[in-house]
Amino acid sequence: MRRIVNAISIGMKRTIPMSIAIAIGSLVLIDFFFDERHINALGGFFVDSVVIIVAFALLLGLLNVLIVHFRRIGRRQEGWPYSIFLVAIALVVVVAGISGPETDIVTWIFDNVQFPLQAAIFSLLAFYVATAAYRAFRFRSFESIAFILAAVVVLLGQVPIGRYLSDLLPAAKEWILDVPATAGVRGIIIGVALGTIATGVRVLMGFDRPYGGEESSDQ
Amino acid sequence: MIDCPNCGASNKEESKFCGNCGQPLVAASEMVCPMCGTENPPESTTCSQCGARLVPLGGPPSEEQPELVEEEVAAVEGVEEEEVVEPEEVEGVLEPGAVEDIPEPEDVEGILEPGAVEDIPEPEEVEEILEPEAVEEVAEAEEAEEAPAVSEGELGEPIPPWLEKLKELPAEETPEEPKARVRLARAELPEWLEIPPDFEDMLSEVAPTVEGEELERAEIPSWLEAMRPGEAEEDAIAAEEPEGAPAESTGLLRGLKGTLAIEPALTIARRAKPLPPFSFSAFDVDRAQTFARVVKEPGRAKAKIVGPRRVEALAATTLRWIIYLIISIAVAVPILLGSNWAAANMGATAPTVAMYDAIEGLDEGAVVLISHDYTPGVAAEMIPQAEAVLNHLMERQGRLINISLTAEGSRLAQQVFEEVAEAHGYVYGEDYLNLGYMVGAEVGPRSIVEGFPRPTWTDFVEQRPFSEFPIADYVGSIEDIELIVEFAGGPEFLRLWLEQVQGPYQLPMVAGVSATADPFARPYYHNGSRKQLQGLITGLVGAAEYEWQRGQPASALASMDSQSLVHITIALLILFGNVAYFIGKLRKG
Repeated sequence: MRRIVNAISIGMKRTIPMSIAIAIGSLVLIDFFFDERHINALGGFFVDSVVIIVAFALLLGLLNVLIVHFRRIGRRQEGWPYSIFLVAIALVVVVAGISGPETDIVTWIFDNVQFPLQAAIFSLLAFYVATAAYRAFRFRSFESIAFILAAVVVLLGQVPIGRYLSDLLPAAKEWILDVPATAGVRGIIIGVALGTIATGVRVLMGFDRPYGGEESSDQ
Repeated sequence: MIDCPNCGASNKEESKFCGNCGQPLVAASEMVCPMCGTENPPESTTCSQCGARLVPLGGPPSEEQPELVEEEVAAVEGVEEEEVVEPEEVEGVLEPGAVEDIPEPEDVEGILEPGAVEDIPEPEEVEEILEPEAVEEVAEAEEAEEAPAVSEGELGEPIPPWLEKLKELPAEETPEEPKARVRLARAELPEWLEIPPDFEDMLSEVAPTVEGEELERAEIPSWLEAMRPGEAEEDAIAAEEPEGAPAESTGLLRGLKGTLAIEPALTIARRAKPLPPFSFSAFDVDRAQTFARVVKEPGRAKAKIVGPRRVEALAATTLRWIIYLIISIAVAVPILLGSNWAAANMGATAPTVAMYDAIEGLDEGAVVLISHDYTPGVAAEMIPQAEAVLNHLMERQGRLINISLTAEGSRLAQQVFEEVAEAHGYVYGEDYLNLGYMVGAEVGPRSIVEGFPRPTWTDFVEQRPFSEFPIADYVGSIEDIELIVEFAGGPEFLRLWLEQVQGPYQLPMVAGVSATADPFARPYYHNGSRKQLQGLITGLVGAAEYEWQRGQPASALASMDSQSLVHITIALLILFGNVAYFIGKLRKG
């Protein structure tokens, strides 16, 4: 009896999700290659299902964040006062946004809180890059010399002052971006594509089970 | 973790069965060490912690084993032939499980059990307990651990009648009779067990004798009798006792010396394991000597922070702030001065010109799908791009439908539209429409174009169905889209549109990307004859180039003076950093 229960448990945990994943994955893949009305309709249905699931996942994510921070506040864990702010602001935005994303309160929060904060944090990058340029760009080897020269050429060739200094600088910058940089990025993209194919095949054949939680892979 | 004894697989704590082979992980009856209490597997013969023997000498009980025990008991019996040992006590000796009872004083006969005696490592300690004859027998039993049991005839000694009677009884039918003790009359108490007078007085106070009732005072169990030294042995022990041997000062054993020595023999039955062969090399000796020298060395005073390090740290911090200040000045000064030097030296690269041409080639009233996929972090370079391109699209009288794959993108797009639309007299819902954020992540673009446009979609501003807006009359299917314009803050958004929409539906597409996404976008622009991207603008510079190409300078072109100055400042910082590096190197030699 216990063996039967174990077999059913393993089936519920591994075999059934794997069968569903393989079947639907194959169907969506076939839909991509063949232009057949019924297959296209099924593929479209599953794509729409993903959209609905993602929407619910966002909601679950919000709930999870709230639960985690409520727990932190309840246990007085380190930094719990910040959690109070987080929960309060999240609730305010959620309540304000129920009637729509373009209400006055939501617009005001976006324009005066979210936008300046994110933009300011990203702007700090310019200062960090400048400091790193002074400290880290050292002529230590042939590779470092090539790296620094490429950086300086692109820096100057990108802006009008490079054109003012010499017409060669914008042309050199375009060559660096079009030839060596593009070649390198193409290699990365092709590698990613091959890796994606391999991963897809492994998932479709049931070797990888990213949907099964722990112990989801045989490897 | 618990390792399965059958297959070796690791199992969770408190598992009862192996998850791999199903074998039970907890033994049905574990052998508890009588000495230290450690639980050992049932098949163990010695304790894994203290080395005490868990089963009687000679392995599990067999037909031969009782005979061996009988010989030992007989040897003890030989010491006190008058002592009557009850069968139950002997049974306790014969049973292997009686080992667990050793700590109990009433069952100390277990010390006579072969296994227990076997575990006593030092013969001298045993001699304190047993008579010399008994010790000899035990020693023989140790040597004959795997040898066949000694028969009666070999011993050549007569078997006492009580033992004969015991042999006739089957082990299971041993009668459970109350324990009978060897009782001695008062006069028979040996001198060494006499109760001191003061203790006797104390006893009498605590428990006064009832008149007419004579209490049996001396009751010496057999195990205690077995410990009594013989006359010759007494002399020998007395001779061996050191002068300073501790003597009991109180209680029944007052005056006796060497009583503490019995304790380890009773409770700690350890078998000293032989040390593994030890060898060492000269290198080991050297390391050991070094270790010893380091250990013996006196402690050193803490290293003091020398002055130059503080100066260096201060200089580094100061330098960092100086660099920040220089960058801030480089950004602010051209803006504050309102200079427009860069416009005179601006140009447009080929991808920018291609994008301009793609939009310039649109028919009047063409439907264009625009996607704003970026966040406020890169808005500083994306919004000028969007403004420049939307201005151009509205100039071409395009019908614009906006969507976004990021939640923030829809709001940012709406801001741009509102700013640009007013200048071109565009009306929301008629000439342009914002459908807002499209959920879907990886399948977002595909879900948008499949069945495009869906009547159930609602717009971002008024939350009304798409079909209610006049612009819906111009869009019947995805084929009606003449151009896709993608504004991507990161390369992943651009890739999604290219893979899920541009490739399968072969729709013309141009893109404006952030500077960090530019290297990942270029391969799609330089794609031979099949340009997946018909045009590409990059970062704030791309926006400025587009403005310059259109001949309508705006915010992007105005910021090129600051950007030029910052770029040249960074190039100079690289130069100065290397000069400082080489000077420092030369100083150090």
